[in-house]
Amino acid sequence: MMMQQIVAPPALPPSKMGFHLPTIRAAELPGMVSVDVRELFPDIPAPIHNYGQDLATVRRAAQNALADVDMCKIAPNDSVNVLCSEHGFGMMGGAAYAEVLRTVKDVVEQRTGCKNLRLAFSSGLSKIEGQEIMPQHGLDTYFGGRVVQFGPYDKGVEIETEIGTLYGIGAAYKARRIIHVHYDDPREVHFHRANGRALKAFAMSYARFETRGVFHNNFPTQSANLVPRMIYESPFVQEKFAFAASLTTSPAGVTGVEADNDLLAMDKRVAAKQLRYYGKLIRLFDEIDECVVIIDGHRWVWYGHAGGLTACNLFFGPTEHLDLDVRHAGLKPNPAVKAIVVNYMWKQATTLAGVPTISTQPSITRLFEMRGVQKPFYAAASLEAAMKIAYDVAKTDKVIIFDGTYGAINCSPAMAGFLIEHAPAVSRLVDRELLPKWLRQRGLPLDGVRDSEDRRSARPLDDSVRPLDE
Amino acid sequence: MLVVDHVVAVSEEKCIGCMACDRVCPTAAIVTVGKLARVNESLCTGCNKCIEACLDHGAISRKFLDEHVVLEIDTTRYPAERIDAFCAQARFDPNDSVCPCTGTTAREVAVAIFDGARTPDEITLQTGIRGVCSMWCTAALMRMMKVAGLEIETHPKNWRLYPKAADPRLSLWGISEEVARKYPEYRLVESRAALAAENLEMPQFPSIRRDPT
Repeated sequence: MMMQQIVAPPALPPSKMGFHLPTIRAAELPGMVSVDVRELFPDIPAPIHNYGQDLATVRRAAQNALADVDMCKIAPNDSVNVLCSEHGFGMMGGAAYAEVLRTVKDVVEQRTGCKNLRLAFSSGLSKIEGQEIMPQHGLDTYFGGRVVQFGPYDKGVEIETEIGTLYGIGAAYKARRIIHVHYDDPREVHFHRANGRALKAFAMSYARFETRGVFHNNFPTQSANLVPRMIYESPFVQEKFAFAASLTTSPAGVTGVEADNDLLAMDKRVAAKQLRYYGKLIRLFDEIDECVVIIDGHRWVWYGHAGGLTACNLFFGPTEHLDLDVRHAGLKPNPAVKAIVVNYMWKQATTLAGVPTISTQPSITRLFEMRGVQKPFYAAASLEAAMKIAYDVAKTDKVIIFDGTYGAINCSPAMAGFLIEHAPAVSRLVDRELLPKWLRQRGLPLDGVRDSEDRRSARPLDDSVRPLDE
Repeated sequence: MLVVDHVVAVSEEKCIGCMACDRVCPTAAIVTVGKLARVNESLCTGCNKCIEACLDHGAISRKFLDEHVVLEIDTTRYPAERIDAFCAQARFDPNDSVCPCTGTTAREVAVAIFDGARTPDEITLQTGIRGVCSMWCTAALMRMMKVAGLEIETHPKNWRLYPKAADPRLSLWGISEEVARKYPEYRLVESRAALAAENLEMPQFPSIRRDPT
């Protein structure tokens, strides 16, 4: 297993929010290297797509998945909202997720004759990003201008559920039918515990902030997914719900697309893949004993990717979020995180309480100082200057970069060496002990790694959906 | 604590008086009078929701302040036992942050209520809670107001807050036994049993305190 030359991360699109793009990316720091996630764990499947590559494979995977979906609920004259969420566009630059959305539109129009599809774009905290993201991917044009963006404070709609009244966003549900198009990266596994991941958007992306708070404040993490389940199973949503689709991924890139009329069934398949494909890397992050984190490539501090895993997967380790028997998972910020350098972000200026945080530019500094909750906090004039502070306070040369990269982890040589050294033992532990337990706890099959693909195996495999390296 | 470094300003030329801004303002700092939105700067926390609500018209912009305003409250003026007893009824630890953006604690919200704050807006302006995104703290604030017997009023033509979200049934301790047993995959029965014995701690969010009775 070798350290490799640094992998260029996805480019950062300019933002109207007035934040300057960083002068240099963290991957350009002298001496940084890269570790291939499939060299760490060879059983991670080869991707059908990664950042910058041909999207035809994603389209074919989406077409194959949608072939099994019953669309008779959508009539030619129906209004249909294709629901999507901001974070899907943070994965591999967002092109793959955008292609799934385009494919859903095309297939639905072709099979149902319905032309009244609208892209309904959800984002967290604020909603200005829709104005940037949809044009970046040409989605506003592709949907013929029939797009709407909404945030958590927009006009709500009452949804009567088995546990009481919950609130959706009116714009999300303002259509006769809805199609839920999501993605499966294990962001916030410390909240959803890979036990209802595909449903969570109903209590978050498409919900008012009161209901988002109910999910986070009124239920522990083992139980919180009752909230999106109640919304999804409400008569209001079931009347509108046509089907769901999900971009499926591994740390190496896109693995395919899932789709189903039954969201619960799709969630089971997505969860099984998530545990199998991401479980070892999540566990390897738990092994990290000390590190400096560089945030360098996403709007949110928490959601930049390194080898397909988000920063929050590291921040809220090393407790066992995937073990449903563990009640108090991730209570404290990960003590292995010794310093956080923020080279680019513009949403949610919080990192980890008590962890030294260093900004590399004034616009980021202003955000942190305004909240006044991030201590200790340092303002540096450049990434190089920030790294000097980070090395000084962290006293470690293990650096990991969350810059949006899939397929590889950009990091310092010391971190690369650490990951390479610990991966074999982690692999054995997960194979023999943890993965069977995780699957058993969720009632998922212990065998059949690619169960959903097996379901479709009777159909000839199109060349375009073969893994890239086969 | 929230440091307010900017408020908002309305362009009279661009404003069409559509009320999109005042329907989302968490503190009623921006109100449409006649056909023009007007800002009461002393009530504005700079959350920018109105700017987003007005994206189509671009009539609202940020106005940076020469002197920042700090929203925080002195929590030493009331006995710790009183604060603790109040927070316990809302199932919060007084020291827990109930607002990830501002770090506002349950103790601070309790003191604001003791001081006479009667509305979410007043509590925001005293403590900073809800002053940024409102996304994760609103349910917590509503829980504490419920314990204090404070009803949240809302105007039918705005959507700043939906009071029904404070329904105690929307919680681990409020759901029916039937629901708890019906969905074993979410381990509701086990979580409730645990809550009877201990506080349930959570990442990033305040712990759920065991039943005070």
